[in-house]
Amino acid sequence: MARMTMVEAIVLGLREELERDPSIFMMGQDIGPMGGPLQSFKGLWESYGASGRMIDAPISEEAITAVCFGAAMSGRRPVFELMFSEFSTLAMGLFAAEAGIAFKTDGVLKAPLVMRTKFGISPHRGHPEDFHSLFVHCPGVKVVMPSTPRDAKGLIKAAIRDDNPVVFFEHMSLLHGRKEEVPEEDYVVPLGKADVKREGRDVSIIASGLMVSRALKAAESLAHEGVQAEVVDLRTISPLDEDTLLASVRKTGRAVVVHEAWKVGGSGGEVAALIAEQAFLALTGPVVRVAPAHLPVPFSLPLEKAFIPDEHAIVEGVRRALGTAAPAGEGTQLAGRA
Amino acid sequence: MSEAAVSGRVDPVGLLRAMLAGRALEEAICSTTGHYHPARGEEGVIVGSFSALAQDDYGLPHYRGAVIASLVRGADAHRLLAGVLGKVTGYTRGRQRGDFVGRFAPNFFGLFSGTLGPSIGYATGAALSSKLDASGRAAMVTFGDGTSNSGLLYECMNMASMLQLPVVFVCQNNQYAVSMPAARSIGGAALAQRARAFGLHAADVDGNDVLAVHAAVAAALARARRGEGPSFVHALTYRVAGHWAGDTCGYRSAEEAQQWREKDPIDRLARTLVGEGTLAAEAVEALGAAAREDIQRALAAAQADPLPDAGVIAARQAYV
Repeated sequence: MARMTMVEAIVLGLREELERDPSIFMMGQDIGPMGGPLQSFKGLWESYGASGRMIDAPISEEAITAVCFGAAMSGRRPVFELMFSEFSTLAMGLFAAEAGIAFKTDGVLKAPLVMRTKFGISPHRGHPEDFHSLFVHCPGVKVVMPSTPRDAKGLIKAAIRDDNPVVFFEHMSLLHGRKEEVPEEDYVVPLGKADVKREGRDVSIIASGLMVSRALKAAESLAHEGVQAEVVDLRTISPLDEDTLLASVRKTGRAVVVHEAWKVGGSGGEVAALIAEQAFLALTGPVVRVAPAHLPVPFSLPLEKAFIPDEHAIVEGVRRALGTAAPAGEGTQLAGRA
Repeated sequence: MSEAAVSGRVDPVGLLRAMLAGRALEEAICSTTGHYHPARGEEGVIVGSFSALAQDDYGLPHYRGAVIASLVRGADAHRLLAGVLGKVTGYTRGRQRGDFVGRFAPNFFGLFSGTLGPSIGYATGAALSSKLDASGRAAMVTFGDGTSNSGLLYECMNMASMLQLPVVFVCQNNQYAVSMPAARSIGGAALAQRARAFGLHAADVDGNDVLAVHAAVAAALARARRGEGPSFVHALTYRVAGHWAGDTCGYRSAEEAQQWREKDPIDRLARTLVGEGTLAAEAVEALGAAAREDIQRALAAAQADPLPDAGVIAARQAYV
């Protein structure tokens, strides 16, 4: 065990996989001697650059993606980075129209690849947009979003070993955030498995990425009021771990779904609909979504703060689920009020 | 694998047979639907290029002519036709439209949707795989003049040049992107010049001369296998048919199409073979009749085949 940040944990996972499987290569902008944006491939060039397995790419997002799909279909396991989530929209067509390759070819071909991309509000003050919901819509694509260093290492390794295209969302406030003890041996966190990060009996807060730590803070403050919130970290947003999240909602009877992506068309709507369809009779209150308004992410700090759900917005969401919320119009949070 | 698909050795009679089979196959498809996108008149480029591949090279076809390219690469006409009709006996059991893809194989895959351009990236990626494992396999992709204006082609030519990948880009220039003439849509330099600007070896070839296409593509593939980097072959041909079989082509003159009909690649090779005494005129007729007979048998079989049972599709099958 060693204490490390999320980005250090991910890079360790990449290194272990590169060592284990010679069919893996990496491609991305500035992943050469610079070590990747925000150190996302730190040290790997020194170890694997000479072998040709670290490909420092030009600004050609669509080609990087299509080339990696082609390489995956011809026997390699590419891990490529499109730096930021907003850049990944330039390669959307490959995931939207082209993926589902195993289905379309009736098993003749598969595309085992991982696309890494960064997003989220952070001290870096740029590229915060969370476009993960776009990828959730695409059949045959898996969407993963770790919330802790330990999960991140296990999830990136599972993503690399998975035979499907996996989009791996890395939150920029978490990458260099809190350190955690991370096992230095080989382990995976299986895709498609949510994790109950805190148990509770009164309400289920379903979150991912940075919103998990905010949900945990909200649960802490709710506990002082006698409300026991359960926090479910989805970890894999597509396909959903329906069993875990439905079991939680059947236990608590109330659900609050939180994400940093826009509420309109957001993946949280899918979670809410699933709960309504599968666990309606277990519900004792409305399913509540806490997510940003349908606006471009604003730049100035006070605007950004009002826009992204924080602990208070989540607490307010829980109160709406419990039917104990203050009347509409009070409070200042934009998030959750879209 | 058809007789024509012999790398390094040209078999003109085999190429003629492959073009005749391809045309018969498309005529059979057109007898079932007016929505098909025929490659009539473009067989010289399709057969010439795909017959130049070695057995284990990667070949990625353009949608127009994908079934003909599949035939050249050894697919079965019955299953190809079943794929067009959505029958359970098709190569994907009805999961994917068969007219755009023909047969998927580990080294033969082009379109996974109606989107044009991605296959150029896939060929570049297959070439990267080949380079990474030093397998010596080359990759080739065909695409139209319309797709030649996709940004992906230029990103990929740059990347192939930068990484010196064993890939051959073949432009099957049939002079129309639906209704848009290539003469209008291609601004600036000609396609081969564009490719040279990216550091690719580039050649212009008469696309209605199947032997010339075969020779140009074979030379480009050989360069790729020798590690001499990517190439571009610009093959000029003409879309004698409409964009789809039922297209009345109000955007171009009938005279223009007629002029190109007279340059038909099948007639041209047949004339050459008869002229040099390789084949008698009757033998050419007999080859055509045999091809049509084979395809008609395949069509009858495909039409008699069942459609897939809807129950075979279940949720989450999109994942491996």
